[in-house]
Amino acid sequence: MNEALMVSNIILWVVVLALVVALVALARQVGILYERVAPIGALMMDSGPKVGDEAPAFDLVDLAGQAVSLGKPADRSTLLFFLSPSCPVCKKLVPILGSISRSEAAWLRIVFASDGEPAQHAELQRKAGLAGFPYVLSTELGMTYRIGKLPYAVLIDDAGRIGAKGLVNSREQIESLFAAKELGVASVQEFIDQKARA
Amino acid sequence: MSLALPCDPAVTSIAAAALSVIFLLAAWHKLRDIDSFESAAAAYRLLPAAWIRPFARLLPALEAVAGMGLLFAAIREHAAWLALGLLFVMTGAVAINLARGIRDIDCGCGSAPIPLSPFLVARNLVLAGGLIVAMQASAPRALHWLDYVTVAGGTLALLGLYAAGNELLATHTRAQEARNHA
Repeated sequence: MNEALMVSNIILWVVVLALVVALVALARQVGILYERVAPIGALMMDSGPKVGDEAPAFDLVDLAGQAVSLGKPADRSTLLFFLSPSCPVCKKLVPILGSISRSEAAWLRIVFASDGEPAQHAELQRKAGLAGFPYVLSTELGMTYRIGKLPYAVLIDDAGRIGAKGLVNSREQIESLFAAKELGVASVQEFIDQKARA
Repeated sequence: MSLALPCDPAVTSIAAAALSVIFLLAAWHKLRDIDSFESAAAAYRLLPAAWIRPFARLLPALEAVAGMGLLFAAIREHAAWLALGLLFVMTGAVAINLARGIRDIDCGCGSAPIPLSPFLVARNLVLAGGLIVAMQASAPRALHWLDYVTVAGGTLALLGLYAAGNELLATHTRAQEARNHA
């Protein structure tokens, strides 16, 4: 009897472990499936002002003391880039934004936005070589756009409307905002949806 | 401190071994990609920016100490208390942000990004329950070889369930989004 229980116990452990391995594999496969169907391009959060709406107007003063106005018709579009000194991905994107600002200078200006201690941001601005760029600190700006994740970018077109916005982690995702604006869709996600419906 | 009820040594060993691996893995994941963990810690918006860097190093280090300590019976109880303290801090941070209505940040648990949700709090409460089991004094009992099979099997099964649970937590929000989208 005792021996029979031992044998059955061991067989049961083998079965339990096999089932757990199968469960982990299934959960992982579901995860991979979601990753595959996940939107490519900058991820857009469904909060804050909507794409196509007029951008909320702001008159701010940047770290260098220059006036910066946002959300008003202008001769160029504005890429509003939200960053923070405690965000490593933001720092990685800064040189990329520098190169984008040079190549797209004809139609685009880049404004850096954050909130917090001016001294810290002045340090970041100096270290990251952002001296020539408008760099504004405004808690209200971040609240208005409902920035929850960084780095976050909002593209405001020359008519003062929000052309595209989203969480950006790479050059491709920043460029996807330009593409989304050109195509007149809120995000690359929406573009894929439109294609799927067509 | 132990509750009056002594537990079976096989049960406390399973809890201690599984939680040890969970804490060591969590520490390793955080230390391996410390930049991401710093961002995650900053996203909780609970600490002044200057504290993020030291905090992002101290927390995984303490996790590793707790995880190692759980393996040794002599200091298991102290390690379990340390682990409970860490869980309390992390779960508190999650709960505060849930109360603030912030969900779409990474929990910074290590491994795959998991958004904040009440399930995360529930998961941590289960871990805390496991720690309380692990810190109980074991009833003295002669160990049979079959006990080692039980401990090995039980530990592996719990770790597998934990991994599957995390995987499902990571996809849970995506599944909801997809449902709302359709």
